Amino acid sequence: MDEGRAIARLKRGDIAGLETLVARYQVAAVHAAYLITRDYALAEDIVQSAFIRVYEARHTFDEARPFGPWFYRIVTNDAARATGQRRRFLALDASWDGVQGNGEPGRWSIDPQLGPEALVEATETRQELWAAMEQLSPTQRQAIVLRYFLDLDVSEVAERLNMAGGTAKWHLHTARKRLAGLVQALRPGTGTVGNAAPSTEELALQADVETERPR
Amino acid sequence: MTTRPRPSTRIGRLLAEQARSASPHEPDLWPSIAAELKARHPEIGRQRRRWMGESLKLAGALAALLVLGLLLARLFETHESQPAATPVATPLATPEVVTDGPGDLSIRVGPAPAYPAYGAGALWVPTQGDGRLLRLDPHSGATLAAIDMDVEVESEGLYAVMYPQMRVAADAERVWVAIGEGVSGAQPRWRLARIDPRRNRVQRTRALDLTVQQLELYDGDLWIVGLADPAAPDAVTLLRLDGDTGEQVASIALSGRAKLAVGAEGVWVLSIPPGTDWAANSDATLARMDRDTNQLETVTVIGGGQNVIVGAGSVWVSNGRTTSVDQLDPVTGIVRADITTSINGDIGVLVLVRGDLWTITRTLGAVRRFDPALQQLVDSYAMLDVTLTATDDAVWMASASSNLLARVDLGQ
Repeated sequence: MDEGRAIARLKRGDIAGLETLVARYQVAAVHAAYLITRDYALAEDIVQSAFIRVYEARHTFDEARPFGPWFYRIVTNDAARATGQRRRFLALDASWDGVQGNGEPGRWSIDPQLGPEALVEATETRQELWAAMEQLSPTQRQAIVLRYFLDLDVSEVAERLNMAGGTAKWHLHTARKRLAGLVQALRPGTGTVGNAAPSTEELALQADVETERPR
Repeated sequence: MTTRPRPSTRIGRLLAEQARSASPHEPDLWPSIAAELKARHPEIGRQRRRWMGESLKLAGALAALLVLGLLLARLFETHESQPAATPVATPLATPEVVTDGPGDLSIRVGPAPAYPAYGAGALWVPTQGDGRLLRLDPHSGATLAAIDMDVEVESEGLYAVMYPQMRVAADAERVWVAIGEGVSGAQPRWRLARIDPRRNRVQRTRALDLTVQQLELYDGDLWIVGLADPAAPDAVTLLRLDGDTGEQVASIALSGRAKLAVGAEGVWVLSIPPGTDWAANSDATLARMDRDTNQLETVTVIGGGQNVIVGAGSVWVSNGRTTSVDQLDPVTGIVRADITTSINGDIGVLVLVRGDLWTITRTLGAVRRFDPALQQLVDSYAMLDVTLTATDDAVWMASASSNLLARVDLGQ
């Protein structure tokens, strides 16, 4: 069933239409929510609830607009909100994964003993990025996920975040700068941790973070 | 077609890798979403039924016959085998093997395991002594998950069998648990929980105005035998619920005590008249349920009838008067064979596995396996306070007083 027909059936109250949309969008939506919440089960709950709300608010959906971006906005908003609530709660605890109780990144991401092989490099960079994402605010994480994971352009990110374009650009810029700084600080070749030269993975990441590629 | 993000930037690709590494399996949210929507919006089921009716009219008699054939094939398929519908998980711990236990593998589990069930690719064992539902690998017995059912525990050993606080029923996709508190008192409180077998956690619960005695899941229906009033043990209620949502479909009041059997041979109820001795003196009525009308149709009366199961094209009734098991034709109710068990005791439980009859005689603490065709005792296992279930390739016995699970491998 194509998306247009699925949406038409959904608007008539036929859940077969929703089933098609779930099959199509659940993976991307859960992954996007997970990148913001860092809790896979919570991400699944958020997406499940979002699909149920889609069914219950099906009459309000404008068929002329694509479903995906509209749905990702619901999911990432819910994920950011849930993360904010969870953070306030977890702040009372000693620590959470990958980050020590003092808010500093955990040591697992800066092990200087790891070799230079590409695979290890990629894994390290991914872990550093993951640890760095942790340091961003939920809204900044949402912006990064919309922009880089879901590949939306800045104007779409602004729309999804319900912000003016300039405000969204500022959020993205701030998030990118913080991310770049955090990844740099986590590398063994910088700061006081070590003195290795930046890896190819790191340079590619820096390039992503510091420049806007043409869309 | 599933949409997977294809980020064009390196940072996006790293994020995608990170998300993929978070879970070895892609999410499959539809069963939970559909169940939740049906629970919230009962009109959804009616719409689908109406749509199906119109489609069948259009398709004509031939298509209807084809659909019926497929449904029947599905019924038999579901009955015979339980496909693995759930992801592989990492064992929580290595099973603690008991070397001198019964069967070909005995493992120690949590306190008072009783009333195991097999479904959704897993062996589900309520450990009544700590209020948890264990999810086990159906072959190795390794514990893959332990779900806290949030129950105030009051049963152990024999009492966990007599007054279980958890009963579980499962089919290829669904797992339901009935949970009771205050079960040995005058006012027990029962609730029903649907387990999400993909995520090993409670998906939804609802209260039950019934003291649960038996829980069965078959062909999309959840069946409960129980007491509406615990002070009136001779007034049993049979509930039929929607197996997806837990919504009530029918409630049938029965006079006397009752045992329920569900399977490809239909839904059967063996009723013991009020005021009669449960062990041997009853004239039990064997009735078949018409699932279109939810009416019971009496098929025959069996003097001494105690328990009923269905399987292998027959209805099987254990008989406390003759210490045998009667094999009946499900259409005529005529006894096809009488399998002498020579058990001088109460045959409390019957299970039919690959044509063999497994009986539990609680007073003797014995599980016995008979070949009904040859009328022979094949094997016997000494276990106290035992309940059992069958998987695709094994029989698992749970001893509530020994905290043991024992496997009898049946091979492929």
